[in-house]
Amino acid sequence: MRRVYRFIVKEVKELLRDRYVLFAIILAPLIVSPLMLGVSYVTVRQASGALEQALKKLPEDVAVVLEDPNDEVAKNVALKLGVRVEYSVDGALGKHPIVIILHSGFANNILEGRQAKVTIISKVERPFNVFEVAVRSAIVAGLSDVVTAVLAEMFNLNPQLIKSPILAESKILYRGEIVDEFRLTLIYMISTGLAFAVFILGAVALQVGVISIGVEREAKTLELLLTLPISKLELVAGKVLGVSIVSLMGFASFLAGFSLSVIVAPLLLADVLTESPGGVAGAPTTVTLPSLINAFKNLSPVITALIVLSIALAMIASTIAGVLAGVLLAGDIRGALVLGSYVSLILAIPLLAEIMGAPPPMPLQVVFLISPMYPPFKQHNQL
Amino acid sequence: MEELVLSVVNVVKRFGRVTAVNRVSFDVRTGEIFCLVGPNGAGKTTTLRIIAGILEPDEGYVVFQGMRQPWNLEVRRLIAYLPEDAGVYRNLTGLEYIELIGGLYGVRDAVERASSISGLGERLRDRSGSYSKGMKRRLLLAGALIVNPRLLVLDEPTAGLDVVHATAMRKLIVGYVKGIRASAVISSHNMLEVSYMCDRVSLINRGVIVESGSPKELLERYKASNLEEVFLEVVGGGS
Repeated sequence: MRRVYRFIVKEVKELLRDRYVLFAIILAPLIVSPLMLGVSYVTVRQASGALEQALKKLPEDVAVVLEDPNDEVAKNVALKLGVRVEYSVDGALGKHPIVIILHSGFANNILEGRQAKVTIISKVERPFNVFEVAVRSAIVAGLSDVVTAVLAEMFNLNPQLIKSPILAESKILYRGEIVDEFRLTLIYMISTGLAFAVFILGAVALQVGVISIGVEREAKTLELLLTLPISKLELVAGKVLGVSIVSLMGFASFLAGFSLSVIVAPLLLADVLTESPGGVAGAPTTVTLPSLINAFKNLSPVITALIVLSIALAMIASTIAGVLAGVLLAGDIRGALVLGSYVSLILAIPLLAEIMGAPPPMPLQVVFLISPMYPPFKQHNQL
Repeated sequence: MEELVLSVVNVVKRFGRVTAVNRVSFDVRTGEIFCLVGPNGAGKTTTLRIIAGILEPDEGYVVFQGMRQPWNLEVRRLIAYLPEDAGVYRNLTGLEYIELIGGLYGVRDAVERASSISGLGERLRDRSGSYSKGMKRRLLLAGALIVNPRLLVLDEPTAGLDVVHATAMRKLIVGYVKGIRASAVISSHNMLEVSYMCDRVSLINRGVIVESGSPKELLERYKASNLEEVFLEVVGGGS
C-alpha cells in the first residue's frame, strides 16, 4: 500500500508541474463555462431582438379557450386579445402552438378579491429554449395588462389600482405529455448539466490518462518503471489513482468556472430575463442557483446514487481508456494531447445524441454503452 | 571458483521475421563484470531487456541465483536495470526521484548515498529537466546503486557522455561491483571502455555470440593490439 501511495504522489507531482497539463486540465476547464456564458449572452441579446418580431405575429399562433363560455370578464379578455376563441383544449391544441385557458370562475375570483386562474399551454419541440421561455413570459405579461385594461373598463377603475389580477400557470406539451414548465426546465437543466459534467470529467480524465503515459514515453522512463519491485497491479493502481486525483482537480476547476457563470449570468441578463413582471406569474420561468440546489436536494436517493455512480464510472473508465490509449499510441506529450482529444470526441458521440433529445435505436444504445461518457440513465424520462 | 549468479541459456528472441537474438548463452559470476560488445543492432539491448525481465524470450531461459524467469518482486529487488536512453522525470527534482526509488525499495539512507554517488550536491533540489545529460545519467546510476542490487544490468552506460563524466561513471560501476562483490552485465560498443572495465567479454554480431574471453585472452588469441582489431577480425573486416 505504501508503494502505491509513493507512486500516486510521484504521479500527481509530475503531472501537476507539467505546463501542458496545467493548461489543458486546470486552466481550460476553468474558462470554458465563462466562455460559454459569453456566447449565450450574445445569443440571448440577439434573441430578445427576434422576440419582438415573434410577438407581432403572436395573434396568429395563440388561441384562447373559455372554460365557461358565459363568463363576461373572460369573454371581454378574449375579445380584447383579438385572437381565436375555442371551447375545447384538445381542439385548440390541434390548431395552435400556444393555448391560453381562462378557467371557469374567472370573473368570480376577481370579484371576490382573488387572482383569476389562467393556464398557458405551449407545444414545444425541445424541452428548453431560451427564446420560447421569453415568448411565454411576454404572453403572461401581456395577458396581465389586457386583464387589467378590461377590468378598468368594465368597472370604471383606475388601471393603476389593479396589480397582478391573474395567477398564470405555464405548462408545456412535450412528447405528447403536458408537464409543468418549471419542472421540465429543471429536469432538462439537471440532466443536460449532468451529461455535460460526465463529459467534462470523462474528457479530462481521459486526457490526463493519456498524458501520464505520454510523459513517461517522452522522458523514456516507462522501461525503468517496469523493472522496479512493484507489481503491475500496484503500478496501474498508482497511475489510475494519481491520474484520478489530477482529473478531480481539473473537474473542480471546471465547477469553479461553472459556478461563477451561474452566479454572474442572471446579473448580466437581468433586463432580458425580467422583462415580464415576474411576480405576476405563479410559475417562475427562470432557473436560479437556489432552485437548482433545491432540485438536487429533492432527488430520490436511488437517482442520486445513480448520478454519483455514473460520474465515478465515467471518470474511472475514462482514465483507464486514456492510459490504455496512451500505452498503445502516444509517443510523447504532444501526441498524447492530440490523441486524447480525438478519443474523447469519439467517446462523446453517444452523449451528443442524448443531449439532442433523440435517443438512438436499441442496438446502437448497446454499442454506445462501451463509451464511459454515456450516462447510464435515461436523461429526460427517468429523472 | 566464484559462485554462479546469472545464466543465460540458449536465448532466442524474434521480432516478426527478424531474429534479434539467436541462441545466446553466457554465465556471470560473483564479483564479475561481463560485457556484451557489438555494433548497433547486434542484439545487445534485446539480451539485456530479457535479463531485466521486460521481454520474454521465445526460446531458452535465464536463471538468476538459482531461480528461473519470470522474476518475482524479490528477484526484481536484486536486479537493477538502466536502459541506454532512460530519461528522468523532468518535473520531479533529483531528490524526489531518489526518495521515490528509496521508498519503493525501503532504503533508509537513500538521499545521503545518492548525493555522494551522483556528486550532484545541491543540484539534487532542482528539477531533473534542467540537468545536463551527464547529470541525468549520474542521477539514474545513483538510483540504481542505492538499492544495493546483486546484479547491475547496464545498457551503454556511458553513451553520449564526455570523457570526464564517462570516466566517473566507470569508476562508480567498477567500485560498486568490486566493493560488495556484486555482478554486472554491461553492453557497450566502446572498446576502450570494455578493456578498462570488463573481466570477460562476449562479442555479439547479428544476434549471435561470435567470440568470448577476457580482454587479455582475446588480444593474445588474435595477436591484436586492441579489442577493435579483434572485433574487426572476428566479424570479417567490417565490410
